[in-house]
Amino acid sequence: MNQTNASGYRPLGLYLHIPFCARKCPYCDFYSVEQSALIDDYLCALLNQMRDYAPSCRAYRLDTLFVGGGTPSLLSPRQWDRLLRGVEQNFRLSRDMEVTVEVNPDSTSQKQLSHLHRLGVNRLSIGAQSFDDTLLKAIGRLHSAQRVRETVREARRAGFDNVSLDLMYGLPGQTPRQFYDSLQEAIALDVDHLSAYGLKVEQNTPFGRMGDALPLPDDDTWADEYLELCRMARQAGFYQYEISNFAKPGRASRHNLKYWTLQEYLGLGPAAHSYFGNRRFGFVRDLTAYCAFYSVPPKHRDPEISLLSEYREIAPQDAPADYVMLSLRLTRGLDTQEFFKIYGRDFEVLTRGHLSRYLEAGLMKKEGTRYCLTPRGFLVSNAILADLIDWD
Amino acid sequence: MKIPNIRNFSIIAHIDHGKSTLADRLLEATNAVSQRDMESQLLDNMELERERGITIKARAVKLNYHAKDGQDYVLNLIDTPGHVDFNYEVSRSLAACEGAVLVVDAAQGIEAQTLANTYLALEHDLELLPVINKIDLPAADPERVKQEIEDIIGIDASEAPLISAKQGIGIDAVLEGIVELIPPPESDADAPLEALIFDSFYDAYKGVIVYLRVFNGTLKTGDSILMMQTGARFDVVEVGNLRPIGLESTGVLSAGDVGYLTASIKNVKDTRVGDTVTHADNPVAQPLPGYRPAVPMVFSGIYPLDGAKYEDLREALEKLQLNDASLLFEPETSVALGFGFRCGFLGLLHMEIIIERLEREYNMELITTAPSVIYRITRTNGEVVNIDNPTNFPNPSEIAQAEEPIVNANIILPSEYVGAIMELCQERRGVYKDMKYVDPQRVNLHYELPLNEIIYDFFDALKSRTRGYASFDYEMLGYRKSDLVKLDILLNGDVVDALSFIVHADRAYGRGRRICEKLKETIPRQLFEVPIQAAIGGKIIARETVKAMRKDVLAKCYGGDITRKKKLLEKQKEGKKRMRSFGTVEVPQEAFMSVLKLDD
Repeated sequence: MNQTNASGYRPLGLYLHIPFCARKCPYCDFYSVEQSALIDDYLCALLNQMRDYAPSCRAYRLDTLFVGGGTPSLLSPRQWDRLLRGVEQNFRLSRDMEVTVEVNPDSTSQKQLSHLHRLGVNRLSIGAQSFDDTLLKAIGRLHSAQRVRETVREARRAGFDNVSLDLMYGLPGQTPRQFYDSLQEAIALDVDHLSAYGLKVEQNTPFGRMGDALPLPDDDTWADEYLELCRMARQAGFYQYEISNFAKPGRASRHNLKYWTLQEYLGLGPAAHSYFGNRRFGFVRDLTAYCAFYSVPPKHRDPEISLLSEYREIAPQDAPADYVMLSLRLTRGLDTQEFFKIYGRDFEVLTRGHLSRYLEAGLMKKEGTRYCLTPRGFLVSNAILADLIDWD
Repeated sequence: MKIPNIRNFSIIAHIDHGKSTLADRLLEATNAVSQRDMESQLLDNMELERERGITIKARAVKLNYHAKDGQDYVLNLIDTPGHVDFNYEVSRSLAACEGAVLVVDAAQGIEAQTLANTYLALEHDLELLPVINKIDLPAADPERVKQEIEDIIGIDASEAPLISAKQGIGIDAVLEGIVELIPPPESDADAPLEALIFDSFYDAYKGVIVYLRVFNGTLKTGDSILMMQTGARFDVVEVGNLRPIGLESTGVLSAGDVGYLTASIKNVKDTRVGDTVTHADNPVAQPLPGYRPAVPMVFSGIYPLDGAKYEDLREALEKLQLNDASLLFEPETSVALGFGFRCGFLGLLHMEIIIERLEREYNMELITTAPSVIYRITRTNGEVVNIDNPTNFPNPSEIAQAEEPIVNANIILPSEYVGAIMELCQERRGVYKDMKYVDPQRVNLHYELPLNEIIYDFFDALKSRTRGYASFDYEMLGYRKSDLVKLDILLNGDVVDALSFIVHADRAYGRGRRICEKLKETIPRQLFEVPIQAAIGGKIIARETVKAMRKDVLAKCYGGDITRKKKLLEKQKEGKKRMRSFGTVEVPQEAFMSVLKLDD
């Protein structure tokens, strides 16, 4: 919702996509290319896009910035300076802005992390994925487990007090034991935040093209791994706030939360997505087209060319379903009073008795006026949501 | 009075013995169609017929032939379907003829449908011209087949033309045989009009097109006609000949002719096949003898997958019925499936064809219930009821006696498979009657079988246990007392009426268990565990469980790409629409079909 804070400016999250990787991982469906020589050209285009959007953001103040990829740690110090200066010049910033950068252990260094910290970056998301060297190699990662441990230490030394690790489970050939060991290692490194994603094989990735040749764990194993993840993280003092995200107190990703709480965010760069001014839109997955469009001054751009891959105004009748889908992604769940206040509709009536069945089966729980999914419920959340929003 | 230069004939054969190929050759040889227009198997012009290699609808065509005796002849060829389900259509085609060409495969010899069709032809007093086809095959043994024809059918086969329709060998001999052997029609062109309707179909521009055989009198454009059974009256708009490439308007049809008429007839029900057409102002006293009417033997509920398509389904069925009078349907309601139709079919193949046509030609998505036969139940109060829908099966306490339809089945097969097939018939509650050798290698196995045992998958089982070498035909014998029960299927404790069926008590346990297993395979894991039970009365006789689904989640959301997640959920919602909900259980369409094929 478009709250205005005390200062009179509306809060906004900014996502900047860095679509470059040293090497594409075979499971990953994020948009990136293996041509880091193009980074300078790209930054030029990205800065032009920021300039483009700056006027429509005059009523906003950035309170989160997330630089993701791709592999943002491929940027040189000079390129980082240029990028972050661009943000400063085009947007109004909050004093307590959360600034996250994704780094890969193989392409970052003590020097880079210190530089980022000096530039005002205050949160790091490290793509560890696993602490098993054989598995890391099998999923195409360029770093070792040892390098992950070093990266966390370097981050601390650089001054970061908000460090997150990404882990994966449900990987081909991965045993539950291997995953629990990696999780244990991550916990032992005393990080502040964990994102643990179960692999979903996407069609247009090398893994997707392997089809049945991929030795994936069965659904029951996958589910067991997830439940154990939730249990171990809780035991280690992490609070689960979203399906795949766990944080030490006060360390939940504010930027990530915006996605699920209908707060506005602007995503710039190819393949980036936005929720801005009651519209959802995204840009094409095409670096060449993107750079070509933004490398010329606005008055020379071809008005016939659109970089949008999707653009839709949120219709009033779609809004309640969006709200249900998004809020149940979080452990705090859906507040029926708030739902009624916004949409004037009774969530319990709307969902026709489904809720009591889920409560009974332990897939949901009710806390005061809020309905939340339990870990077992999260595991089957697609099926539950498909039931819950089936009201037309 | 003989009409010496006309011959009206059909071709009859067992499936795949080359009936349609021979028809094509006759068309070619008489220049009825140019080589350029020649599509293989011209007479089978329904898409499905071509794919399945069978003829479903009868069709007719007029050929001109200059015979060796120097005379010109008109040969009216009336095509017939070959499959057992369509005996009725065969029967009505034969009623319009004086003779039939009996095609027998030179390698395979006489098969079950050869016999069945021959008996039908003899019932109509038709002269038979035996023809031995496929003499070019390495395994061909024309002498043995001739002997079979003489021994089993009892007609002289010494002069039978030896032909290869495929290679075009011996076609002239067939044409000469038709002229010599098949008698000309005996008719009186000056008598009151007497014509038999043997087929009809609906044309969007001309209305119903009626195919008929004129026995006596003359039919002209403008005549006022009367359909004697329905009492409907029409003014003839067009009459003429049936040509391979279409209708040829001639303005007149005389005694002995085969042709068509149109009269702006809107409703095919007014032109009942088998009815007699006569002049309204000078009618004949008696209609021609009708023939064996179509008796639906297999019944099934057909429901639109999307309940909103009910009216579309009705329209589609009505349109199909325009050209297929043997299809019956009436509205029915199921607790589980909503509004649909109870449909009657000639047999299982007929049912499959209708469903396929509804899906293909009318884009319907359907759910079909298990096929049923008509059971005869005598209630304790003496009332006798016919039950074709398990839903109406009375409580066991109200049943004084239950009877089921029995058929006379002839199975012709190589003798080495006799043991396997006797075992199959035994499993299907068959009663052995006798066994005769057709030739030294093959036997004709005669069983009495309950119809409900053969409507599921008997033919498939027969084929697989004889590696495709058996042929099979049956005819209704009558009703016989039987120990019948209604088997219910429960999902999550609730009876799903659409899955109930009537079965012999001895077979109930095995069938119930197999259905539960089959449903377990086809019902996807859902949020909650789904118990599947089979029950007779209140007693559970089998149980399976679909375990609760454990994983269905989008763990990662790509950088705020909410639309992607939303699309996924929309797709999931769409997927649910392809399912039927029973309380909390969602059952995919395939589940209903899969229980029809149990191959037990």
